[in-house]
Amino acid sequence: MTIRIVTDSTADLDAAAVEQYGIIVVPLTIHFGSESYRAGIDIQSDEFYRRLRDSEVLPRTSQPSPAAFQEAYEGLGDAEGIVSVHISGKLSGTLNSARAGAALLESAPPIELVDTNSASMGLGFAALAAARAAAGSADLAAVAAAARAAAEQTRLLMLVDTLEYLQRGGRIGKARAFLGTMLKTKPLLELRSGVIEPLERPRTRQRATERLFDLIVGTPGAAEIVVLHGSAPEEAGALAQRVRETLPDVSVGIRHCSPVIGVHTGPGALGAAILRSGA
Amino acid sequence: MSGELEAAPIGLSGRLLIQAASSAATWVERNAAALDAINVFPVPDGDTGTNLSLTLRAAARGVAKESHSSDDPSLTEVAAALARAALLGARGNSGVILSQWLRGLAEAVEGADTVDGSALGTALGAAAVSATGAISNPRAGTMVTVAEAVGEAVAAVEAGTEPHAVIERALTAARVAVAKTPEQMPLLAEAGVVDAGGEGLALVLQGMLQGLTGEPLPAAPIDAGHIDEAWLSQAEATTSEGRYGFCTEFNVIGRGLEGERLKKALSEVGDSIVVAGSADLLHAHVHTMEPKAAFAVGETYGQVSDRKADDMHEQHTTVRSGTGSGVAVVAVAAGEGFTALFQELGAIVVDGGQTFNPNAASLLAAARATGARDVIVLPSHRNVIPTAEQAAALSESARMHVIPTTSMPAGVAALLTWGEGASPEEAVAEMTQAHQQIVTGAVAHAARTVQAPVPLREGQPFALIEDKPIAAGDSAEQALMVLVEELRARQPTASLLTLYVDDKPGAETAAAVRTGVGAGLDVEVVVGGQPHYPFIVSLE
Repeated sequence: MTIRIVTDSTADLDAAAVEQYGIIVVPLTIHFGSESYRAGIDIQSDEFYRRLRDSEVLPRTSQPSPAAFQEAYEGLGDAEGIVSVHISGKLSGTLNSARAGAALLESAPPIELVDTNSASMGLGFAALAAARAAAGSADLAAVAAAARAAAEQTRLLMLVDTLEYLQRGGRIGKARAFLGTMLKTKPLLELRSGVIEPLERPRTRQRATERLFDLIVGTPGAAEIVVLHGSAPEEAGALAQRVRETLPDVSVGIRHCSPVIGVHTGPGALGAAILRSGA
Repeated sequence: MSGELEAAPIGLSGRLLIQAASSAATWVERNAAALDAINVFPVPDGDTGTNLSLTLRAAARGVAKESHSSDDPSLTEVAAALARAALLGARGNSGVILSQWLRGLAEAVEGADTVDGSALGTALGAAAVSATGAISNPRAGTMVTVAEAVGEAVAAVEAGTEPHAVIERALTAARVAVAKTPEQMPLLAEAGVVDAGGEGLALVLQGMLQGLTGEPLPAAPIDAGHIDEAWLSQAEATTSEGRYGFCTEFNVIGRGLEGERLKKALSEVGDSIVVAGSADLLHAHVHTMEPKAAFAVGETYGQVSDRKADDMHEQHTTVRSGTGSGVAVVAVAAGEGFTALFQELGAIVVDGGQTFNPNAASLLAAARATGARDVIVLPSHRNVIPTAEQAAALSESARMHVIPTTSMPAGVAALLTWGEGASPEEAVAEMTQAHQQIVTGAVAHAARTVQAPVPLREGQPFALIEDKPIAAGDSAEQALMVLVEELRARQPTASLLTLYVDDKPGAETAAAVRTGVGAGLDVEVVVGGQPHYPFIVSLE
């Protein structure tokens, strides 16, 4: 009958969109020491960031099990096809689990896996584009293509207070080049082709926020923008407001980054996902 | 093994597989921390051991249930239950690969109550195929490489071989394959470890073997080694101290070659050393500033061939720019702290400054050494700008772009805007804009007594901005305070003051600036180690 969309909890989708399109969100897991929490189910962003600041141990994240995907796919047995849209395979093994989960199914609708090379709302935009295409009765290939096209057209910018979390979590990517300077900096990063790349390193938070604003409004063809933050709601609100004033025709939202993203960016991250038109 | 008269099982039964799985789970659990400690691929997040252990524990629990439900479960039932439980409990990439490995094994023995060693060997081959299929882009030197080596080693076992003998052979093959992983993946060699997932698979086989033979497991975990600390702290061997050396490799052909001796000899000339091979052929890999010296070391052992020395700075530059052509930065600096700071920010440093201006030839040589097509030059001093322009005009190998910075802090500000993927033109534009946004000044001692523009006695501290004296001071500290006030007057909207001191970070001076003339500003103190100037200040 229809094509259904499966994604993972790093997508930072809002509950309304998930419900509207019947998107299945498979959670990743956060581990604080020996305690495990399914992101977005057992632990919500607010509580997570509070614990992240207080916790002495650095929490770890783990991808969903193949069985979790198997279950998600089995629950969609009536669908004509499934498009499973996920976080960059260079940042997480989630896609591998999805692939293994799909292989476990005895009978299932055809499943198309999409590596968005992105994360957070960068992934979220791709999942939404797929859901909208599916709602418009597109076929499996067209729905997957919509997700890929949106992923291609999305820009994900992030300003972090410290590179420490990205380094300790092993996700620092090319931003490694920004490590180890005797000056205090607030690195500005961009996720490109699934890997974190360093853009520049302003020396103060204020300057960094200013540069982030410049980069957001300087991105040509922005159609939809979501300001992302890890426990920095005031700054995110102020930034979103300025972006709205500068780009009155663009929809500008605000989203608290999912805990799994937060584990790797650390508290105080501020960023934006920008969907460019043409997607 | 116990006495020969005891009915030694020829086949692998369900019951034996339960024993093997339980023993493997225990053994991997005991070694989880050791595996975590060497985890660098695909991401160095230190959880391979934990993930494998949790996956195996889930699998072992799954089959334990199976054994309760039947006194003598078939191999088919146990293997299927094991695979199923592993798939359900798989954690991390290594766990997913292990679960797929078990699934391949289970599918290969499907229908059998027991299998002999030969069929077990075939099943281990199927397990490897299944494990490799688990990941999108299998890389050499990882867990799947080890699984494949194991599969090949036991692909053709004679009929009638006992299962434990097959696992023993598999274990030997696994250990050999694990030891080779650093040769297959340079990342591992640089970090000084073997692949954690591969080592984990060897531990699984070792645990299984002990389970099959009934021998107790060692109480102590293995020593899997640890990630090289220098690698961890710098986290990128190719840009670490002794930075921008050459990744040097060669083969040595001879007789009775001893890898260990060559390794030791090479440690005199470099680091990140990997030596592999046999008594008549060794392959050597070393990061060194002097490739020739490394080759010479090789020559004392035998005939050296296949020499290769890649300039790691060039690689670094290429990586930074994201293009094949590359952008590099050459900065003129004086003082240990400033030199280190510029290097940290990715520049090649040419020694220079007030009294020792580099000549065009040294700037050209530095530009050429970067190997980049576009080289941005930060002269850091008014007197060096013409020299840099001259070098740019003379340059044939690289396009040199001079950004006329007149102070070291201006160069630092420029470099901080240098990121990934910028074209040379974009980098030049951003750096030009950035260095113009800061104002800088310094405190020096008068070289001689002068009357104008500010009266100074020889040796008297004074403040200067853009090489022009603005005020004399009773002390260097007092001149500093005047300097900061004047800079603030020129840049009233500034928010960050950086104080570069020549020697120790004078805590009192810094405190005086923070509470006095610098109140309301972020004040950062850096030991620049610059000659001639007790203080250099930038305000932005």
